[in-house]
Amino acid sequence: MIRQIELRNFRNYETLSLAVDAECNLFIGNNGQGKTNLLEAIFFTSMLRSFRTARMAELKKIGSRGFYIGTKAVAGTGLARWYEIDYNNNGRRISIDGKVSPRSSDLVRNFRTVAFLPDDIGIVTGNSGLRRRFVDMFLSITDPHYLVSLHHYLSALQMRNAVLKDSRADMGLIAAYEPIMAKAAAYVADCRREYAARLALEIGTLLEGFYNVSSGFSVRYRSDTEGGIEAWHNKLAAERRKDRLRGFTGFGLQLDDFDFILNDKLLRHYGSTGQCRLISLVMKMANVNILAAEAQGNKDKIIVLVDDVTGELDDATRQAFYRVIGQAGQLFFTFTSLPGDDYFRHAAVFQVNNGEITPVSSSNQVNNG
Amino acid sequence: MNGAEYPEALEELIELLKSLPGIGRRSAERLALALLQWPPEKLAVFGDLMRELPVRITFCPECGNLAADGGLCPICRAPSRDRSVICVVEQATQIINIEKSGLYHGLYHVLGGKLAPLEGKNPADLNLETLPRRIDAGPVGELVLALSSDVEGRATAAYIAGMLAGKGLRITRLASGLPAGSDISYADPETLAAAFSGRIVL
Ligand SMILES: [Zn+2]
Repeated sequence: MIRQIELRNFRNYETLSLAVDAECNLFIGNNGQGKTNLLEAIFFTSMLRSFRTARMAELKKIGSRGFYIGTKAVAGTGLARWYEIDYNNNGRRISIDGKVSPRSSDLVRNFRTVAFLPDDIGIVTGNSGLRRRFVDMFLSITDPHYLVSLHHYLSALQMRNAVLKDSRADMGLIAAYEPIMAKAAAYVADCRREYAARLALEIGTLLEGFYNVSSGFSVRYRSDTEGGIEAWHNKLAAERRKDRLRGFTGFGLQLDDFDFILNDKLLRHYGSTGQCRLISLVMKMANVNILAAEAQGNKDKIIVLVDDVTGELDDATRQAFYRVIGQAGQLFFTFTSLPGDDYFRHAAVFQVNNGEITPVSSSNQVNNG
Repeated sequence: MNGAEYPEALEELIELLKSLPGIGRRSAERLALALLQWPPEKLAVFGDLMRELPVRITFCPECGNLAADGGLCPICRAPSRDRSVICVVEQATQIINIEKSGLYHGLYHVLGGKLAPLEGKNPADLNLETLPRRIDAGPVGELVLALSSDVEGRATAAYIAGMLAGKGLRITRLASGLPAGSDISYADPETLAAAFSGRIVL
């Protein structure tokens, strides 16, 4: 559980020192005051990336040289630790309790964060890159080896593509990247396939829980290479000449997609906005279920961030949503105005105003007053 | 001259020192001012050494290791070395580290880097041309690829292995006892010795 958040020059926060002691936390404020930025900072601590941008320069306060995020969190043992991220032009520095740590997995394994965001629907309706990013982020939390393999594959791919730009490139040089790619790709593809099946199962179960009918939902993992390391190796070798003509690697993990199918219909082409929105929500609920099942009762590390997405849900869906995310150790919500929901009776409430956050004594008091 | 600036000659020296790895403006200033305190004789010796550096320190024409006055390096010259094994390294400084482990008695081949197509570093930029010739000329039976464990190092190893396929060589790499993310430049002698004794055939 997060106990303290310190920000410097992060988005619109010049300095923030925020003590947190509740499981459920509400951040109330008008748009543009910094509610989402706070969730982004929490997400960054656990994933070392933003849920909004890949450009680090966007995260620092305009005019500053870099940003700092410090988080004090308590694990199951009751031991409090400080996780700190310093980001500037020279790169990033991660430290845990003041000790500099070179590996991002040291940080990532201490938090398991699921963020519910207004543009989640894009995962269902948008381009395949958004779906791969969704899958990659989740598998990176649950399996550090996944992140390493994916990184190896993508680096080797980038280098192989650089070599392929020359139409007379040395075949041996093109081939030099293939053993690395084959090994990493076979592993990543296995994980993606397994996750697609798990996701379909979890989503199906959740949908059946809402509507009490068989869901007819499935997820199909689409990859152009089936099989293990050997198969990838052969395919890379077989395509080498063609790839040289094309000037890039024309197949592989970087083109994978995940089809979300409801009643035999591909959602991104034939689903209604309502269906796509529901599936995007349930998809992330499924992730919470998977994390909760893995945590085996130790839910401290699971953090759920909800950025203003509950407003449009019907009552039954909202209750199911609250039940599922209730499995997390800690919840952070943003709202433009205080919700009347009984669910938030014991929540800690904060007012967010132009990069400053002040605790409001309790939601009870606000509700009664 | 502006009062907030150093005299031009000193400023030039600071700029030169700044181009060294790990030296920022502040350190360069400190070094330059320290040099200023040296007696003229000492500075003259220092200057002579600098001037003669490219002539007196050369690269071994055989293996690419650091050598003196255009000759072979001490390892290539030593009759006691095992000429049936060549260990390929990225940098000459890594040889010193491997020698400290005391377990390797063969010859070396210094690449001068690793393949990095994104930075425009291609096979032609590495000391690769002489390697097949050395193998054809001598009684070489094993090639040890002691390259870094990152993607670039692994691809460089795969490229060399492919290039020399068919020469009937035993091509090996170091056992992966080295700490993750590090390379042989930073490994201690015991770890390196273990990595050498547990070589893996590619
Ligand atoms: Zn030599």
